[in-house]
Amino acid sequence: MIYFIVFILMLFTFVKPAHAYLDPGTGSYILQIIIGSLLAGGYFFREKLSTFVSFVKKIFKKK
Amino acid sequence: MATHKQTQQLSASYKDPSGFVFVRNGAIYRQVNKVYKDNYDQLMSSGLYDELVKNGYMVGHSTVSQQPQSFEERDTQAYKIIKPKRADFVSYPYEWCFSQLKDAALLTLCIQKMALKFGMSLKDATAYNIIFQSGKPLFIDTLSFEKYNEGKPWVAYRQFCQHFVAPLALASYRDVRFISVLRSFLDGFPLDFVSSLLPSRSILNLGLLMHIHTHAKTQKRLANKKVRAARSGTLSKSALIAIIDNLKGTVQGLHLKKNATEWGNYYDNTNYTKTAFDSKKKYVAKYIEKIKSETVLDLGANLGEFSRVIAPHCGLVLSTDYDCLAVEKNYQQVKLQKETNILPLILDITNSTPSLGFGEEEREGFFKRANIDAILALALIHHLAITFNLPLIKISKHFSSIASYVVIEFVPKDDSQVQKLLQNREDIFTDYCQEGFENAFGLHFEILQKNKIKDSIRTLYLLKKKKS
Repeated sequence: MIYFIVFILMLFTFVKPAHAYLDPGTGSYILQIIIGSLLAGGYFFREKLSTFVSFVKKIFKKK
Repeated sequence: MATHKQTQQLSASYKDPSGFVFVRNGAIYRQVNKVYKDNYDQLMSSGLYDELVKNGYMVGHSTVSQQPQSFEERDTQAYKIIKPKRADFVSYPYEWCFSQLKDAALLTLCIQKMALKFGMSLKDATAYNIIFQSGKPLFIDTLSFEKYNEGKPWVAYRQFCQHFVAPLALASYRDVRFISVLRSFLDGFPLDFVSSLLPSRSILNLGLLMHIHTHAKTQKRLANKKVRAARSGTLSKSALIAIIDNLKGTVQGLHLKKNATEWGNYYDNTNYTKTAFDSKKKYVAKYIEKIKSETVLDLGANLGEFSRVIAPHCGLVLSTDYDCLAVEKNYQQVKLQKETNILPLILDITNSTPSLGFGEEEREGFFKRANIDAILALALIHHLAITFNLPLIKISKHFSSIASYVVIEFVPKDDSQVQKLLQNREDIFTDYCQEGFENAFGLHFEILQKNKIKDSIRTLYLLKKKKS
C-alpha cells in the first residue's frame, strides 16, 4: 500500500513548472490537504485516493 | 520618561503586526499590540503558556505595567508590555551544528502539537524563533501563537520545511557544511534548490519525497492557480497531527554520515605529554579565575576540553570552532552531561558571520550580538599566523576590539605542530617568534601573566587590553 502512495507522489516529481510570479503558499496548502488525508488514511484511504488520482490526472492534462 | 537614545526597537523585529521587541536601558521588552489581544489572552489563560514554560520549551516572561513604560509613539497600539526572561546569547541557525538544528526542529514540532491541544497553532516555524539556553533549545517567539481553526492547513508548514527539513536533509545526504549556507537564505532553503541538490536516492525517503520534492513541485506547478481542491479541501485536526507526526519521524530519521573531518579526532594527534597537558589546564583555569568574566569566547575550542576547564569559573563559555563535527561532538557532550553554561557554536574567526538581511541589520553579525569579556585562544595562533597568513598585529588589533582580556598560547616555530605546517610551504613568516608576538600584542594589551607550560616549549599569556 505504501508503495502505491509513493507511486502517486512520484507522479508529481515529473510535472513541468509553471512560468509565473511564484506564490509558494497555494502549493503548500494543497500538498498538506493531500498528504494529510493520505497519512491520516486508514478507512478513508480509498475515497481520498480517487480524489487524489483525479487531481493528479488534472495536473497532467494541463500541459 | 525614557529618551529616544535609551529605547530602541530591535532591527529584526518589524514583520509581525502582533507586536515587536525593543530594548530599553539595556533590557529587552516585547510590546503586545491590541490586534493580538485575543490570541495573547488565550495563550495565557488556556494553560498553554504555563505548560510550555513548565517544560522548559518556551521563554517565560513577566508583565510590565503598560503606562508609562510602553514604547513611545506606539502607545495607542499597545495592549501589554511583557519582559521576557533574559537569554544568555542569541545564536542563529547557520551557527549551529547538525544536532542543534535537529533539536530545534523537534522542539518546534513538539510545541505545535502542544499548542493544538490548547486550541492554538503556530503562525510561523522559522529557525530564528529558537535560541540555545542552558545547553538546550528554547522557543522565544511568544507572539507566534494564534487561535486554531479546524479545517485550515498549517500556515507555517512551508517555513518548517525550508528552515528545518531542507538543511537537515542536505546535511545528511550531501555535506554537513550546507548548514552554514543558511546565511545566504534567511527564510530557509528554497525547496526547489534543495530538491535539485539532493541525490536521487532521497526519493526513497518518503518524508523527503513528500515534504521536499513533491512540495517543491507543487509550489512551482500550482502557483496562482485556483485549483478546486484548494477551495473545497480542508485539513482535519487528525490529518494535521498526522502531518506533524510524519515531519517528526522524517527529521528524526536524518543522521550525519560518520565521516571524520580534519579536526574530529584532534586530541589523538597533539604533541602534549600528560604533564604538559595538566600544566596547561592548571594555568588556564588560574587565569580565567583571576579575571572573573561573565562571557568567555573559546576560539578553536574543538571538542571543548578547555571550555570545560574554564566553565566553573565564568558565566558562559561560547565554545566555538569552524569544524562542524567537532562542534557536533561538543554539543553531544553538553547534552549527555547536562551542562548549562557551555554553548557550542560554529564560528570561523577568519570569516565570522556578518550582519545580514535588509539594510544589513536584520540578523546581526556575531560580534555585534556577543558581549565578550575574554577570549581563550589556545593552540590557535600558529594556525591564524601561518595557515591563514594573518599578521600578528592584525590578530592583536582584532582581539582587542572584541574583548578586554585574552588568554593565549604562543606556539613557537620549533614546535612539532608548526613544523608540520611549514613542511610543504616556504617560511615567509619572519616576524613569527616570541619577541614578535609580544611586540604585536603589546601594542594593544599589557601582559598580566606569562607562564611556560611544563614539559613543552609553548607559553601561556594572560593579556589585558590597554586603556586607549
